[in-house]
Amino acid sequence: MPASANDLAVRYLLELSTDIRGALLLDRDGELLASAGQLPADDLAAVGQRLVEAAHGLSRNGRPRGAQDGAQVAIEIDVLSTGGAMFLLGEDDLMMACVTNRNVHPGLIFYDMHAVLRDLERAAAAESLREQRGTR
Amino acid sequence: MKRPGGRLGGYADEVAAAMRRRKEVRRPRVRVRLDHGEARLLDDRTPETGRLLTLARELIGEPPAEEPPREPPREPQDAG
Repeated sequence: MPASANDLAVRYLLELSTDIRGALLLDRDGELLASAGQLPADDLAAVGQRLVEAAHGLSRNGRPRGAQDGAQVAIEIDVLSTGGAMFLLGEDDLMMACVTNRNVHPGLIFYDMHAVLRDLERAAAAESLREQRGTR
Repeated sequence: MKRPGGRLGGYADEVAAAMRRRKEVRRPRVRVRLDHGEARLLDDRTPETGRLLTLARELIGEPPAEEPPREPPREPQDAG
């Protein structure tokens, strides 16, 4: 089965940084779209769902002044634990999480995650354009 | 300008400050940034912090909670 754009995106993130051990891609409803690398959680789909719910809770409470109710708030969360770090990035309709070792620069990890999500958006836009041209 | 503790006192201060920073960084913490705003640290006692730390530990593959180490039960010693 050929790898989807989502699978390729998470694999590419792992290639961008050797510090990243594993990554998962979710939609804003919490559905698991792709995962790669070492993620020892038993039920990744359930963990992903809970991650998205936690991020929603934070973005609702900390919604910037003037933001519309329906608008998606971009969110960056980094969690430092004793055994490593977890990063979560939400942009538009997608959320991406990854785990790293502890000695990383959060700014660099978020930079790579932003780059991958931007590439995915571009790929989706190009795909929809192709479909529109194909239907004409 | 001469330091009050001398050169060695200065080194000791620097080492102490480095140790303090290292300890601070090692503490588990959750930081959030919304819509290109300033990043802020979440309070350790909020439920969101606990929830996110639990999720991070699950993904990292680390034991869920830090419990104080239990001492193994001592075997009764013979008086004789």
